[in-house]
Amino acid sequence: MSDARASILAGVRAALAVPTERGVHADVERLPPDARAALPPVPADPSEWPAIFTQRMEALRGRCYRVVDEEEAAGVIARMAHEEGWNAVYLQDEPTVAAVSADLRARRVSAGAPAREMADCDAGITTCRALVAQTGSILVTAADGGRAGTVLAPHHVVVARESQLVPDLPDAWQVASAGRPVPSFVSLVTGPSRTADIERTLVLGAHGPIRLTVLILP
Amino acid sequence: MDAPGTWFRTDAHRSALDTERAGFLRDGLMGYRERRTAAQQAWISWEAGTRAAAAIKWEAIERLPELLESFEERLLERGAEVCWARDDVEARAHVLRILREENAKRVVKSKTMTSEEIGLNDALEAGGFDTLETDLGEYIQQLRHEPPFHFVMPSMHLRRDEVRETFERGIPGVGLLDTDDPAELTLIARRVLREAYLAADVGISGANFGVAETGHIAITENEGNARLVCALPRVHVALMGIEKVIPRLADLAILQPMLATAGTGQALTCYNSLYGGPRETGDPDGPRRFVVVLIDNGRSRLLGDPVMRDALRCIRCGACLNVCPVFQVIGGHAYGTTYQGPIGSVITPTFRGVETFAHLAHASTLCGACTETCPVRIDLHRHLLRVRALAAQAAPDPGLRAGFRGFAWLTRHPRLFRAVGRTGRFVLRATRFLAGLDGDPFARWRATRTLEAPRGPGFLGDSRRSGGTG
Ligand code: SF4
Repeated sequence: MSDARASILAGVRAALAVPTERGVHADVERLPPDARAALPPVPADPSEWPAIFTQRMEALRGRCYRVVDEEEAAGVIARMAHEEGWNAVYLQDEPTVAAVSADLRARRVSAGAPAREMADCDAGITTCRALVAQTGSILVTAADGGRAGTVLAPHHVVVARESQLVPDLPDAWQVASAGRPVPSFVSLVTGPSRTADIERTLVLGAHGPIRLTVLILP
Repeated sequence: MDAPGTWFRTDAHRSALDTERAGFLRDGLMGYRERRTAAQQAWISWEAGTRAAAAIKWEAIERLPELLESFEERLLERGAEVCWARDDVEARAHVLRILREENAKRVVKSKTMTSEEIGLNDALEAGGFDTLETDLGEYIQQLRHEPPFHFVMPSMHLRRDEVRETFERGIPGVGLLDTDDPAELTLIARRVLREAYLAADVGISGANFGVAETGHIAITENEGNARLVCALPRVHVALMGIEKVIPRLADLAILQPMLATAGTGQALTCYNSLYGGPRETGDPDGPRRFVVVLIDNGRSRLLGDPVMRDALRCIRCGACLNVCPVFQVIGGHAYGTTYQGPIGSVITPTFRGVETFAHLAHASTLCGACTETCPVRIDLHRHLLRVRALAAQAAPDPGLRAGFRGFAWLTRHPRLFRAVGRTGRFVLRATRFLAGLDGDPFARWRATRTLEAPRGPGFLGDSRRSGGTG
């Protein structure tokens, strides 16, 4: 089938040899695009980012708590576990996640468990790579509980650090590509899973989490 | 079988008569417009954004061979496989071969229009594979054995009670449902599809972008179904049109919010995910085999068109459908194409033959709303005119030609022209009382429109009186 490869590439090269008709695309510049001159504005002062992040994320029906330490984070998690009656919880194998979940009485499912066991969890607790103020998004990679750990349970809880806040999308992708090679899986998560496929009515928790909570540690 | 041009006319006519459905569609699209306007206003400059997005995609097209090669190279380095398909036949063959090699039985799919384009579902069914669409809208359409109505919102034409009936008839074991509530219906689909992901051997996805710099495919979605399709099965096959490749990872910072704002009026879609190869050492999960199928299927032909090649910049946001007055009236099914609306009418004739699909270029009022709304600045309405011209070249219509010749001749004979005008106005007035009755000579026109006799003096009369030179 390398026939197809050669013939497609040759076809594309031949097609490009035909010059574009003058004037048709005069409005498209060849300049390097500057996303920041276009995207929604974000204040330059980093102290404003947590509030903006929180506001954007909660507008998408996520929850965001700023906590002073791991103990307070553990308290918030214990309360949610109680209110929602967690029986089983997926835990990423990571020190902060371990610390904030130490007192949980739910059954623990860890990374590498069979998918069915993970699917039966009521919540999943993971880290993240970055929080994006501009859109209220959370950047996760394969290092934050794998491809499924951040999407399978109905409630996804993220433990983050304030230092992980970045202002905008160009910075978020910068973080994602900081380690070369870029991980095999990266996702920018913006609010709980949603659909509007039936009569354009918004429904949360289409296939992924119905609830999304971020705990921001100092 | 009738030619597409023929059934297009009957289908479009039938849809135009279904005013209830048209009202439902209009309401849905109105909601889109409000959200989109609000989302767009949050940008410092939407216009600058469209220029940046267009520039990126334009660069990608001009560097296509080189970018495809580097995309492939990066993917291979990551342990992925890359297959190339000139057309739908080759693309289907690749997918079926992989499924057989894997001894697969169950397949889950996330939304991919490229799959519709290559007719994959029929081939999978014929091959005996158990295949489920997992995007809610696609799932509903699959249960109805009906193609998507809109390539971004596949089931937007259905009322909630129709979705309920579809579930009752199509999902084994649900029986009769006592609710129409979208949240409840979504939950039912969620339960069924959860089982499907867990049991599936192979996940098939599309790709919104392919990053040449790093060897990732990028998938944009709201539901999380694509994330599960790409995470749980042991094999992941991604179908990607060759024009989806972009130069840099950083380009996503503008393309993804553009897609969200133009497509659904969101600041950003819920999940913007990158997948580059199978699970790596240290990854807790992920497929063991990862294959990207690069598909041409007419794209290089479109690239060879010195005027319309910018249509390859399309990011399939669907905005041009949402604002199209023709789409609103005839709906998505009448087009009979994978890609509906203005963009579909521009690319389908090149993809699948101008002789067969040229009629699509007439499904436009040339109002230009599509061009104005397009986030990557494609000259859609100008291209629709070009398709008309190409069609006229490919299959000249002698009747039409004679008609225009006759009209041109008539306009050069003012006295006769006025006489014909007078007669026409007289006939219109004289037959007014026949409207809605048997024997109305204009019944076909009046079925979907009103017909008024022109009032006052004709154009020539006016211009003379106002001192024009006629
Ligand atoms: S042509 Fe433009 S508006 Fe239409 S789907 Fe493509 S990108 Fe969107």
